[in-house]
Amino acid sequence: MTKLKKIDFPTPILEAEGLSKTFQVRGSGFFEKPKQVYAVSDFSFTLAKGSTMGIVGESGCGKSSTARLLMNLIKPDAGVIKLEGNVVGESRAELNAFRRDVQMVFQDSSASLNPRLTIEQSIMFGPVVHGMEKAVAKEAAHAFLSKVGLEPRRFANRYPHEVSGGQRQRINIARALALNPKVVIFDEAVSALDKSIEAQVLNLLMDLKEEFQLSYIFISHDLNVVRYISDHVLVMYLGKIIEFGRAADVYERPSHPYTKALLASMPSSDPNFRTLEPPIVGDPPSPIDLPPGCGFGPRCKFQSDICNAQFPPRTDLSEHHSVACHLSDPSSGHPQSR
Amino acid sequence: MTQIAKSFDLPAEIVILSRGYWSSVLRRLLKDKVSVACMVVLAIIILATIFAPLLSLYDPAVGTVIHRLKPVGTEGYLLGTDELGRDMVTRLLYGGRMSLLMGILPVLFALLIGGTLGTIAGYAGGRTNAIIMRSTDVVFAFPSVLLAVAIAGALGAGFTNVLVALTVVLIPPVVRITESATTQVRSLDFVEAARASGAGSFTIIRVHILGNILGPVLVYSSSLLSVAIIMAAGLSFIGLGAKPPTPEWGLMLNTLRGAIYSQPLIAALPGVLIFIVSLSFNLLSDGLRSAMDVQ
Repeated sequence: MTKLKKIDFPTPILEAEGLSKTFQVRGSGFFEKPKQVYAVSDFSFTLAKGSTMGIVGESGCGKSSTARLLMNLIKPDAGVIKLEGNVVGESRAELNAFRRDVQMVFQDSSASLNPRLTIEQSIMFGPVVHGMEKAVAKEAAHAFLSKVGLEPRRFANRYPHEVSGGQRQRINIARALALNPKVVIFDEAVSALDKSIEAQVLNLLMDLKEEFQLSYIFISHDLNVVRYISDHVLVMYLGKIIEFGRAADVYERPSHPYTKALLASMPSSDPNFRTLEPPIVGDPPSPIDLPPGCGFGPRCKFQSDICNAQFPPRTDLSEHHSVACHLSDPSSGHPQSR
Repeated sequence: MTQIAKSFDLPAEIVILSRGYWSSVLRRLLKDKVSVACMVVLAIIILATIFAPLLSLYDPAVGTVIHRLKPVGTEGYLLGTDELGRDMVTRLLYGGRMSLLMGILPVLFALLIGGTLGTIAGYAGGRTNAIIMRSTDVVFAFPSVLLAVAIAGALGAGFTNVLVALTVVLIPPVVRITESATTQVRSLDFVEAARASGAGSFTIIRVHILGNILGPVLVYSSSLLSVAIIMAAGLSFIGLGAKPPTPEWGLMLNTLRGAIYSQPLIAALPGVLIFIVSLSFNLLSDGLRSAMDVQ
């Protein structure tokens, strides 16, 4: 399997080593054996303190499962998560401490707020659970509302359905920040907003990151947004990391055919730079009972026998850029490798 | 922070407050004329049965034989007398106590027990869910009236046994409704977010689940009230509920059967009350449903 070598960062804050998760789905027939869905396999990465890691990939590639794994909301089948160098255990106390430090903002701004609680109550909930006194938590909630640009007097006592989508997402951000986390995971957090609001929220995120010394994991299918906000980018395909590197490296010198295709499909607003390379054809193979080999193989124009036989090991292209493709590995035996 | 457009400044003393969900439901309910009428009717009947000793001078269990089956409007007997010469107003008021209690209490018990089971099943999912839901399905498989008759029959007549029988019959549908509502709410992101903030299951159920399932569960339970009242009266009618001489509407319908040709109006009175109460609960439940429909 691919054992990913760690890259040295200033101070790692959140690390994952070999995270894997398979879900069982029941077969269509009553007596059929349950099938395995490989949501995430052998996922390793290191998030440096104060940096932003972008995770990109198409729908169903395991981005959200990764987020839930990193949040410890679902238990991994294998692998460990480390926060500031310490392995996060399974005990209640350890999980609680972890959950103060790592928070998440979801895509659906309205489903992620309880419709029966006022905005202020929603933000207060986390701190109160962790033992903060109600009056103090209320003060803090108001402070965080102002931080995300919502006037407390105007918004604190309203209900989520009474405010706009952009405002709701800011409330979700305030809710996540209320626990004073060190890492915030954004799972498609701005994807549902329209462009102008999205830009406002992104700028807000940049400001907050600096003010509260946060580290971000930013999951999105919007390549432009990821490039704008991320220091490092991680490309996922069928639950596996296929390319990882500094944002500039990945965007300027994509190495995996899938990354290239993904970047080529990025719409450009300049008519002189139209998408010339053919977009990817077909759908990814079903993650149910995945065959060995590279999952991108069937859609890849460089596919050869070795691609069907085994999943490519990780190849380091430079200190901060690595890829999992037989093409980039001279010893792989791929006819076109270099 | 600079990019965020500041909307017009709010004067310092103004704080925007929003109406909560329940107070807006109540407001909409009070706008509905039918619901208000039902509430008034039910309030009058319930208050009258509670204050029965103040409203009537007679003993509900003691009659005077010479005044048997007096017609409605007789001097001293506003609604006439029954087959043993007991005042019908008194009997109906005291009987209402029994009938309403036998209808309302089982629904409350079922709401408590079934609601707890359903919430646990819906929240826990997996094996716990399967055990709870399959066990309720077993009870559900029997026709409810038959099951109530069978349980009451096995336990013997009496107030407590009717409560037990009706509670057992009403639990499965409440469990189902609660379970499906909980499963639905549980899959929403705010429950996930609450888990992510480190809250325990109990806190999540209390703060995030209950408030969101209460609406549908309450509407459904209120529709059960009318069913329960009719079933309780039915059990008494066939002799499995209140025992004579205790006044109870269903039992009164039975004992007045003999007078149906001589005093049809008096014989029908308990039935009319059962009908009015049951209908009012039903219409009120409908009103509640539409009042809760809007976000």
